[in-house]
Amino acid sequence: MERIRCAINRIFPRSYLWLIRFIGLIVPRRLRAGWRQEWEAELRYRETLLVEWDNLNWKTKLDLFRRSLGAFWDALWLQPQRLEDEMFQDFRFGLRTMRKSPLLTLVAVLSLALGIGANTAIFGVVNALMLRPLPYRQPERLVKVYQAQPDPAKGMLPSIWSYPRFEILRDQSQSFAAVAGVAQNAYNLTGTDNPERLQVEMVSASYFPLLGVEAAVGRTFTAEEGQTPEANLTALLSYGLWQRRFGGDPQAPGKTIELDKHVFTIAGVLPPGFRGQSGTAEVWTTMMAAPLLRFKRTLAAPNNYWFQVIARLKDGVSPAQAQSEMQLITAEIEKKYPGPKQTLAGSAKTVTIAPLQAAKLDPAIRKSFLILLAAVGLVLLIACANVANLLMARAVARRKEFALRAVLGAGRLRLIRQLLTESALLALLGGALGVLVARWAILLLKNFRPSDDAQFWTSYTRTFDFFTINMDWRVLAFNFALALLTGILFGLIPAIQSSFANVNESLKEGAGGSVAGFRNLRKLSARGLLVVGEIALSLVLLIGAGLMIKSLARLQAVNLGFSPENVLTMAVPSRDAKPELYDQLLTRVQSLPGVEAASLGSTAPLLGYASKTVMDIEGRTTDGSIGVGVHSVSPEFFKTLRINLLKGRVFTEQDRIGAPRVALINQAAAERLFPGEEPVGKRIRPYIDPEYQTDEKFVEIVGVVAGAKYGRLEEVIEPDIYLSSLQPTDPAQTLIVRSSVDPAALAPSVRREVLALDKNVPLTQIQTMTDRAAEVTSRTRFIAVLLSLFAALALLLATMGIYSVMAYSISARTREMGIRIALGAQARDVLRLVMRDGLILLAAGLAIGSIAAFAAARVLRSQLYEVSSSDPVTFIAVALLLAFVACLACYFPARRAAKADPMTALRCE
Amino acid sequence: MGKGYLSYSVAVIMQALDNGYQYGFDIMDITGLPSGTVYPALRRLEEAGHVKSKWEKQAIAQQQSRPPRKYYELTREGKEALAEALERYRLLEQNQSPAPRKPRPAHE
Repeated sequence: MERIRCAINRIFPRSYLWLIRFIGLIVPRRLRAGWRQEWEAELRYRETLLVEWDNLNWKTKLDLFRRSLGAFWDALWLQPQRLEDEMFQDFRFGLRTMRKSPLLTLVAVLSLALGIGANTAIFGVVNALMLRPLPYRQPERLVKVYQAQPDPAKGMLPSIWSYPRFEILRDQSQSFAAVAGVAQNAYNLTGTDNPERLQVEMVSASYFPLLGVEAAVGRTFTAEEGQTPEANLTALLSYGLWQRRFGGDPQAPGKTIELDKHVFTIAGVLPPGFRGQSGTAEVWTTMMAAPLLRFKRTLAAPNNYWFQVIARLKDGVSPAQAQSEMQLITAEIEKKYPGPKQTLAGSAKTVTIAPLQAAKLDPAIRKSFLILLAAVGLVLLIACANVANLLMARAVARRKEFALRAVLGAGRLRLIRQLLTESALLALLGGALGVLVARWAILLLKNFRPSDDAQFWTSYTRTFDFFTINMDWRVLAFNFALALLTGILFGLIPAIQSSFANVNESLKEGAGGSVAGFRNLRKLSARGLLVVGEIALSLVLLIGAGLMIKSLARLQAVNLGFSPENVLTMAVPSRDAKPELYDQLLTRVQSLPGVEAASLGSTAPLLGYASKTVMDIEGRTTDGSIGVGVHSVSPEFFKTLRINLLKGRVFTEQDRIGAPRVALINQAAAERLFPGEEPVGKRIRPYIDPEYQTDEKFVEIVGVVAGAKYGRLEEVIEPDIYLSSLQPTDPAQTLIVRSSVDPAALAPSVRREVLALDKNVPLTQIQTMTDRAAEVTSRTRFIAVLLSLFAALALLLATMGIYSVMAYSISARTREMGIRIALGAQARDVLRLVMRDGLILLAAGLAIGSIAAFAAARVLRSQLYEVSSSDPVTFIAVALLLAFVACLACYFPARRAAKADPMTALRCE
Repeated sequence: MGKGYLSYSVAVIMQALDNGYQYGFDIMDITGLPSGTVYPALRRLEEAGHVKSKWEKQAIAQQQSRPPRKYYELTREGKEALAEALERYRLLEQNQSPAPRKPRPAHE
């Protein structure tokens, strides 16, 4: 025993004190002294006590040893403070470095802010369009049910149903917890002094429970209200309409409103923000109101397609299972209502389901935003390359600092961490500023947004509202992650490079050493590569922008077939107004000061088709493959719009009820319906389903007019037939006015005339034709403007990159230049020498960029109109532009070098 | 470390402090807790403002030719937190409460 005690004493003479010293090594330096002192004092005090008590033996010593082992846990607990400590140091140091070179910091932070901000803004749109779930209960279980297979290529989604067919789906399908029909139409709010055109969503009673939307005031529809046609007429109001028309009166439920003079009892008010499937509805009625608001047989006619269908999948039923059940439903519908197996547009009539979220998004819009997201990503890459470039230039200038730190014992990782902290700091500052940029950019996007109406199938896919784009957590998280990522991206290369710097060399060299230019050729070439990348990426963006601009120009130059200047169009909708009302209105408007001509039409060019149908030609079997747009127009229509008459005559005031019925066709109709024949004098009538017994007479063609665009500008003009609105035909309730003054200024006086004639008729959809023409091209313009903006930003950043690399390499070679000039080189020679370096980078960038652009432009193809994605003119013009700007960026530093005074240059060291 | 979240062992340590045991090793003796528990707990308590620490007077340490010791005392917040913890750990008072004693004037 005694021997063991001696051995312990010998081996561990106060070994616990050594242990504390040893463990203290892992305590953060800042705390180390105090930590060691505390433990040492405690152990030695206890030792003294033990001696006093005459109790210091190997047992108590072992106990002290055990206690000092616990110091390890204590030290471990202090570890997090080490990281905070050094990070804080890195941060403080980083901030100080940033303050020391404010210009560099400003340039870096600003370019990052622009890059990150633009990305955040575009991501905000993508988020609102594609990522953010629909604001309904369990939105992933909601599907849209198509009556025929949708054809995204056509844009037009054949999704509409007739009520009898819908009943089969609703009553026989097993896959859905609920099925609802939805149709949106506009009706007049009547019975007030201030009539208004309201968007009304006519829905199944199951619609609101299906979505999980509850009334904010009152209730939604009951099942009884969805059962009997024309009975239990109730309506729900949007929150906005309730505020506007009822002042937010909580007693509004129970009161009534009139739609097209039919009285509805208000059942409830929907929560703010709910505007139906289109995002524009203000009133809801059940589909049982359709016989009143549409026509009597609406609910009974199997071939009257007029609404869309949404459904909620039953729990446990997968979309695939539901889809396979739809085969049975298709067969069932086919059995009960046999008919053509294809729609007029040529899609197979197979009931098809698709997730509601995806179905609500126009594929063309989605594609354009994905393109923009890619483009803005390229801008950020360029910004990163630029900042990396700047940091590398500074890293060279800081070589001495890093060498010194390395000599003083800083490890390589420590140096890399320092540099990464600095670049992350820059990026986070850029990201924070980027949030502001994004806010501002989103505002801008909202103003420049492509018009919802631009594509003519409005109510089916116009679903998201640009005003719902906001900075939610997804967008902010994206912004933050992006900032961190960019910080690492542009910080890593300079950090690794400078950590490799040769300590001895760096310390020996004077500042701005003459040999730096050559010695750092490797570094310079890394920077050169970054510049080549920047040029290449800019070229891709510039070419994309160029193609879109050219496409926009082509689109705007499309021959519309009429003259849109100084023309105002307005809708004067009424279901029951007498034809005399419109006669009188036309006479009154024609006599208003400033009006050159006024006319009525069922629709007007660029406003879309009123109806499209197949034609019967007298003495022939019907050709079902040619759809013809049917328009009903007043005699002055062609004069008002300046549509040329090619043959025969236009309508006159004599083409009225009682006179023989007459028609005009456009040139496309003449060519398609009467190839090689004389159309004037032929007789024609809209094809009528044999199911509807009718005595519709044939109509004589009296003239041929030039084609005017009613639909999309990108499409060719299709066959149209015009009927005289003075003879019994579809109502012509679009007022078209050509004026000698600003056409928009006419609206108030026209409104006065309308109200004077009938106070239940509103005047709506007031728009000049030039505005409409701009609206129709708005999506192409939107992409063109944004791509141009991104391309300009890219050009600016790349120019800065070239300039900074040239300026740096020249300043590093000042002495070389001095020697050359002293030895007799002309300024021109020096200039050429320096320019050559820059031009090599430029040429490499252009070569790589052209190839990349050639590949990238193919993505744009679907957005282009009459421009090839490899349009040589655009490619060459854009490359020349980029080359010119890049040459300027090289020229200025080069000229400075050429002007260098040899004496100063030589003396500078 | 929010109020009401004191663990049992931390409450025991605080009670020891309240009863005048001010040094880490004394607390270990009286509570029977190992140093790997007591010291991290003291650091956490100090960070949370329940406890503050001071160094012993240099003169006393010099007499015994050792460095000054560090002693801990409860702050006002610490006392409140302890009172609250005692509510929760009623048994603590009955079973474990060490007899109060006067603090030794070692540091004065």
